[in-house]
Amino acid sequence: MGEKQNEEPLQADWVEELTRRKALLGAFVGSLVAAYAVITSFALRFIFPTREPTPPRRIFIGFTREIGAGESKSMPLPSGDQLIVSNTGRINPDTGSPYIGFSNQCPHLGCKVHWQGKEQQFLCPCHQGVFNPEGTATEGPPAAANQKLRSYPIALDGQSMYVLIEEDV
Amino acid sequence: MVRAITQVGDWLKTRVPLDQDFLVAAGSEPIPGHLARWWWCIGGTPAYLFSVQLVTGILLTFYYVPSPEYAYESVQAIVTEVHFGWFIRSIHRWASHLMIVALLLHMMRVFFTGAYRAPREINWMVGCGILLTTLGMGFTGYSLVWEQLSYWGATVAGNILNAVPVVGPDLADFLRGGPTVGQSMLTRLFVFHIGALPTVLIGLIAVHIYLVRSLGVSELGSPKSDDAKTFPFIPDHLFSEIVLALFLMFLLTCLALIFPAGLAEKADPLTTPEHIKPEWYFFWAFRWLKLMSDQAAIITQGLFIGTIVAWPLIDGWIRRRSPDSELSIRFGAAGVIFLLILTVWEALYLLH
Amino acid sequence: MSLDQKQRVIVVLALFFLAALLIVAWVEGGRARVIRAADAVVTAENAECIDCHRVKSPGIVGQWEISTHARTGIGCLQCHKAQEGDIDGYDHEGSFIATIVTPRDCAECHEAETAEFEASHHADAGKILGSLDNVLAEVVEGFTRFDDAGNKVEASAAAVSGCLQCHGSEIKVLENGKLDPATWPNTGIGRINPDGSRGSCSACHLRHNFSRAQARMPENCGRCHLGPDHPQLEVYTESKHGIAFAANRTRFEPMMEEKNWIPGKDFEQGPTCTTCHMSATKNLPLTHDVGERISWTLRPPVSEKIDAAALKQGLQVKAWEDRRDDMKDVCQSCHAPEWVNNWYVQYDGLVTLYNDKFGRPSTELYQMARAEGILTDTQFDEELEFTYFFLWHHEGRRARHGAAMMGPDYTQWHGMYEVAHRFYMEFVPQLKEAIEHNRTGANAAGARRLQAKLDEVLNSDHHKWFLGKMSAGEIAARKAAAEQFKQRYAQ
Repeated sequence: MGEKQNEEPLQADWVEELTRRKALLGAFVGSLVAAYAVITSFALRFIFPTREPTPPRRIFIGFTREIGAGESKSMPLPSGDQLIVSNTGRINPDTGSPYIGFSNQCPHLGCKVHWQGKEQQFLCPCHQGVFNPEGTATEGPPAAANQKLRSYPIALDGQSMYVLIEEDV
Repeated sequence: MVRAITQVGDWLKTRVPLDQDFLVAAGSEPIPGHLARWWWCIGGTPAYLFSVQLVTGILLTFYYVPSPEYAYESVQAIVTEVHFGWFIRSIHRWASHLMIVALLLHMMRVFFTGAYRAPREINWMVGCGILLTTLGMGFTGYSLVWEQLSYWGATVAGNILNAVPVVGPDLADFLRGGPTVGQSMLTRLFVFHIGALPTVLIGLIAVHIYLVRSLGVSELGSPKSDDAKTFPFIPDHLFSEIVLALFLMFLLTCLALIFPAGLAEKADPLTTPEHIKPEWYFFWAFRWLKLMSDQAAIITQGLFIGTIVAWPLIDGWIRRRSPDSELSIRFGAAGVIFLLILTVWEALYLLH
Repeated sequence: MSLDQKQRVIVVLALFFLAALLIVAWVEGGRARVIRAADAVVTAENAECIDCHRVKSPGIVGQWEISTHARTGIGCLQCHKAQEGDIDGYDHEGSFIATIVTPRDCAECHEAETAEFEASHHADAGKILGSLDNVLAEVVEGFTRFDDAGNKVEASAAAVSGCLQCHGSEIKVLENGKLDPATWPNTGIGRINPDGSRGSCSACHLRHNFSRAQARMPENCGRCHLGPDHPQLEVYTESKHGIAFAANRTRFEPMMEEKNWIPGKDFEQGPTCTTCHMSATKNLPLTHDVGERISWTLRPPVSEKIDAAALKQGLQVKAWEDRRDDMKDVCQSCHAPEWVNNWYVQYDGLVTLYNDKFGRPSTELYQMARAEGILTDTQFDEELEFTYFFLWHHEGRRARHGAAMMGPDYTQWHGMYEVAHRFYMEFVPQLKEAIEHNRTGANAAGARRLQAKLDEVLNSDHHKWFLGKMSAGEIAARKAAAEQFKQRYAQ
């Protein structure tokens, strides 16, 4: 290589030389691209924050005997939100339990909702917002805005009730 | 299909005018034959490693928190929680070591082949600037981890600066952002490490490469037979650089796998460790400091560094008097041996 | 280097680089991601307890904070809240609580474990209150005072601080609601609680962090299962199992807090007590009934199979063969079936030897001496009684436990050697002396019968060597063996 003098453009010469051996060129380009692509993928994985599903954390609420049918119990969560656990008295076919858990914060303007056992609903006293046992607003300003109460899954283990919360990584 | 590409090409060319001939000429610029020797690629090595540092450094900055309460924990999180965090951090750490090694080797190559001589004196000084800035990057970077040695190393650095005649106390305050080592200093070190020093370094590297290209690569004094030829930058020298780059990536990956960067104890302002030591590239200065008073050490070190920076001028003065003098080589060898002795001395002292 | 060569070098280097990157990806994939321990959750009702006790008894709060209970929001009142009517309940800073948390309280959430435990021998540990050991502690070593109505008014300190700390006291609640110091503090495993339940979960699961790793450590069981009369901890430490654990302990410790600690799967060697006696294996579930895998009972003077006593009473219990099969299942996590079966032959051999040569004969002789009035009615007022007690209760048990848990030194030198010495050098001479003492007098007939029994025992195959009656053939065989030994090891 380099027999020709440097005054003439060598471009055609070596380009032709390279492209003649297509297999080598392919290997050359391919291996370089592959290696750098892999390390770039590592870098991308690096900067995208981990969103692996960590197992939800269980927080003990109490024993099932503490919340009779129609009753509810309130407790603060580590995140600062307030949980309201209610016993609807009817087994929900999806969860297999009569217990439902929601944040008691009304999505309209943040007032605290109450569980009404007889009417089987959550009532927000500020502007008479009403939510059904699925947490969906059915009356009042939150209903007009298609809002829902934030729900928390309730798990039973024997007689113990736990709320499952997502851990912040 | 081809017509579409040509159309796009034409559209671009009118908006981003590129002189084809200039590019071709630049690409096929003849490189003196001796550059085909691998020793001569040791200049490109730190440049490539610097680009590795830029990329990995930016990645690390996504997660690093420059505050004494969180700095260490954020590095810990990078190493234990973030995907490939341990890998990126280890690359960053190893590349910093390799970059300094490569710079020193390059510097010695340039020195012992007399490539600093006229008209390249300024370029030599720019190169010295690159070395000093890189050492600064090393110091600031290591301090950011906020391990025990980071904190106490920074304390010692402040004390040393204090001993500089006249401007010492002001310099120390400037480095620390105040009288003590704490949040202010960490913020400053962070700014230096990710902002000020890289900008300076990029500028110096740009000037350095421009000077190398415009002054041309120096010819060897006594060329060997097959050195007489020249060869084109593209593709030959470029491919050499690619070989080097890949070799470095492979080496860095292996080092990251086999010797991943770890974490020592977190900085504890209330507990001074038994042995405070800087990174290996400061061992020579540290040992020097132990041999005399701080002030004497600073002045002598300053003179030493000044001599290195000004060497092209000194060498020029010597050769005007005796043109074939080998004095530079002897002084260079003595300097290297001197620094090696100090470094090894300090290293051995710490081993027991 | 030509362009061509450079191209090839680049391809090779790129492939090396790629390979290294794949190793990086593999390492990354295998990394256990650190899951940051969640903070303790202090619920509203427990906040006041925590605030005050963090100052008054910071250790308690600190222990709780690192527990799984704390992470799940289970705090003070969840365990210490007393029900109305609990005799040990009292008002404390506005809450009605009980100091003692019994298995019944734990069973609110840990039903299965408590049920298994209550069915186990551990829960029966308080039965010692009616045994010979108790006589030692309360009468021989200590002093117990009863009032006219037969109530204990002064307990033996030897029992309170000794026996009962492991076996469990019967908690007494005083008139003012306080707990009788003779009965509490006590976390003996068979403690009889005010609410009628038996046991103390914190005997093994130290409060308040109730750590699994701590419960799995040999030292945990070793609090009670050690000493001259049942040196399980010492035998285990001597055994290869113990050595394997000791060598790998540091590596295992962080993992032992996990729920699953299955031999062969989660760790490859070094079982601890809980591994064999309780732990889940790949086939068996976890059990808190520590008798589920035991085939022999090594406790009595003459060992029998563990279901023998229950069967005699007509009770339906798990057969000893099934228990042994379960234990063998654990062994086979690491050992091949032939190894396990052969070992059981060895074990059965030692227990049978002890039974046949020393246990049964000495017991028969001793009981006969007692029945014939050769011994006084008072327990432990004569040397022979201590001798017999030592023989079966101390060295006899040591030998059997040594064999059971693979501690050869305990089987031999701390075991059968001392059994033999005790029998020949103390028990037999003392029995002879007692017989001699009664040869003339009221008990002469009984003494003669005892002498006959003793002669029968000593003339049996096991013991006739003692009378110099080894058969000529046997003597010759032993002599030949000794010669062979000398030849093999001659200088």
